Amino acid sequence: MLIHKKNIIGMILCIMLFSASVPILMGIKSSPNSIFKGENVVTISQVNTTTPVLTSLAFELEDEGIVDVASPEIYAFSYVINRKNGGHEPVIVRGVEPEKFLSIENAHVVEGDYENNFMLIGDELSERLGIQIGHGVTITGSTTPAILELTVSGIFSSKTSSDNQILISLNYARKLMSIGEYDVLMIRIKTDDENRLIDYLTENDYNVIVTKKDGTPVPVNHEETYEERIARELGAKYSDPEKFSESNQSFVSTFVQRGVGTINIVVLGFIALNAILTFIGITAILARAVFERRKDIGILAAIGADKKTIYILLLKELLVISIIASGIGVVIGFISAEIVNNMGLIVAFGVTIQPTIELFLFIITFFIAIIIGCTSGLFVSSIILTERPSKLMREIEDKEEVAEAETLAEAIGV
Amino acid sequence: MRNILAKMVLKINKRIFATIIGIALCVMYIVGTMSMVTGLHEGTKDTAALFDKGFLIVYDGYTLSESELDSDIIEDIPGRYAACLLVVGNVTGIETRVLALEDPTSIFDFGSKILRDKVLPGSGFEIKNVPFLNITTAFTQSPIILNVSNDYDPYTSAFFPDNWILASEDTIRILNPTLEDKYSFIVIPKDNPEALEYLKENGYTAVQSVGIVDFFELGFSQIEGNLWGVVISSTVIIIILIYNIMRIETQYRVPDIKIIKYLGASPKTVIYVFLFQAVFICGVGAVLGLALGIVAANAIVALSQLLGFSSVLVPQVTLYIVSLPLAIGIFAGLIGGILPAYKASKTTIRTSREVL
Repeated sequence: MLIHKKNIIGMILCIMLFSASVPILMGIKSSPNSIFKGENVVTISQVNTTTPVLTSLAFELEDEGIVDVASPEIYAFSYVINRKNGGHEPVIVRGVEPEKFLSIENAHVVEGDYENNFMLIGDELSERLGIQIGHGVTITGSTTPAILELTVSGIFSSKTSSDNQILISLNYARKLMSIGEYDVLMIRIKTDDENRLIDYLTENDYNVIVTKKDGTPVPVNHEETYEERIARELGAKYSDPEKFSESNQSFVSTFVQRGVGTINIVVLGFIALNAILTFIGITAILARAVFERRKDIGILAAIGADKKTIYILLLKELLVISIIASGIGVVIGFISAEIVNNMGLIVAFGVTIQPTIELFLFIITFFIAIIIGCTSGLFVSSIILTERPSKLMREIEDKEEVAEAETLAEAIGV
Repeated sequence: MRNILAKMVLKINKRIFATIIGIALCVMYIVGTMSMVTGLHEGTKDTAALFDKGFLIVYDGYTLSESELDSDIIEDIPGRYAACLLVVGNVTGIETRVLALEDPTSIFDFGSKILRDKVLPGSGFEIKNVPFLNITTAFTQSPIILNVSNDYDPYTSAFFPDNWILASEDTIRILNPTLEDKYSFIVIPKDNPEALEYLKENGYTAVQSVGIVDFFELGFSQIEGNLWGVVISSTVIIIILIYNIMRIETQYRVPDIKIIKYLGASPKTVIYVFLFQAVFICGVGAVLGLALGIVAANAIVALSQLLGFSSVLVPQVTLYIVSLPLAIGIFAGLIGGILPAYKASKTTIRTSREVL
């Protein structure tokens, strides 16, 4: 009754829109983590701006054999000129020790080098903004008034979101962020033993926050009281300068933390709303499909089929149509997301969003699409089945005609 | 006849009510999304407003050293400013920049340190304690010798990099003769809006020397650009929705169509009736969705905070957010309703018994 080409095409369209949005939204959700932390990386960050993380800690951890690689880093937020269109583009500028950064990111320099006064640019950013080796780049201070101009010395590639960033020396980054001569904002670490790292930091009285590979923050030698946390969050939310007047940096670190929470809310909200939207679209398509089969349903009811039998019949067809439409729709949706990825169409805060295309997500999306399809169909069927069989059969007798004819008024010349 | 047609357009039954709810949910999605992003944008703007924005910089081109501003403009700048000259040079394999300032009101504390015939490297300059530097630039045929001042300690600056070299304007114009009657960039203190206004009038744009403010501004502009994906997908769903319901509606109302045609309504009138009905349904759905969207955005934020997420998000509604969904509703109503309306207009009456 329902398995018809036009119904399947309509459902595919709705499911495609849903399934293309899921990997993109999940990509947005994982962006802050991939930008500031990275896959399988542990980070050590400062508790607050009055307790900085020292560069020397990175060397100490390596020398003591506590970790495999420790990369001291400073991230700064600025903007650069897009050489392709002359407009301004937001960009994350990262102060690094290049070799350690490249090791953490499993990245390599594809062209140029990183000697004195280096500026390395990610290959995606280079391509997007038309900035090549030898081009000058002017950067302003991030949280403090400053200017900097460097010449691009190399292009690196990591196949991660870092490819949208600019790397400069720690000294230059300190200038942009106005932080102390020996300070960094975080140390990113490669290690197989997170607990050993935490134990070492605890025993040696370091006052830091360790963010584990799974994203769990572990305060080391630091406890924030409930009142302090609430005051900090309210201060951040309502931009209270009294609560956050230490320096511009306070706003940055707070905003990065709060921004991640906000993105999680927005993404999960959008996925739920997208599912509702798909449900509505499929319901509309199936409503018309079931409506066009009212007579068949009426006949089945008239010859003795009870509601349960008709329901089972409809469910079987709904399952078939949902599986077909979901399979095709999800595949097309994920392919669309991959195309979006390859073309770098979605950019937020200077970072190309990389859709999360994973088998697990594909399977989940596929099953959600089937559930949405079946639920929509059963919702429509339950409404139709409340009508009497005789009414269903009678209504359909008024068929529309396709050929145009004169009206009676025209025929009689009125 | 007009009353009959008006009643047909404004008729709301269970099916149409369900469609209105469906459209309302689609519009809710658009409004909710846009109000959350706008709220995030505005919230960030408020916080960014608390930042010290520092100096404003005016330059023309991709970089400070490539920029060329006419001297004539600079002569008439009102109030405090510093006009700077910058050239890229190479000192024994190390790339550096040589800076000169015309700083009549001492914005920077370099005034007495810049000597006509000597240069002063910054404290971070790699080559230290040498009497002179051999420098080459893209504009010089052979290396030029710069005598290093030993009257002052290397300069330090919070604003300029510490590994540049300070020089006189004459020195810079030797290193880059194309800057003969030009300057590279101008620095304006934030307490001199007259200078900014003057430069704007002359076609120059100032940028802030604190990048995070523009980082957030530009970042949110990118996100707002991406929102068109949300708007387009919702519009497609609304069109699908309205097309399907109007197809059902026109089939259900074949007897009504026959009656109005019997009474003399032309096919054009039938098209108008169903198109107006589609627009009416979408319009009502859009208004309802507008209200739902505002409520939903606030509800999501409130609920998420109850669930332990914390954020800087306070959803906001602007005239644009109000008017766009209404425009989408009308557009989707017209697009989704046109085909069913056209098909309805083709309904024919074979005999008067069909109607009577």
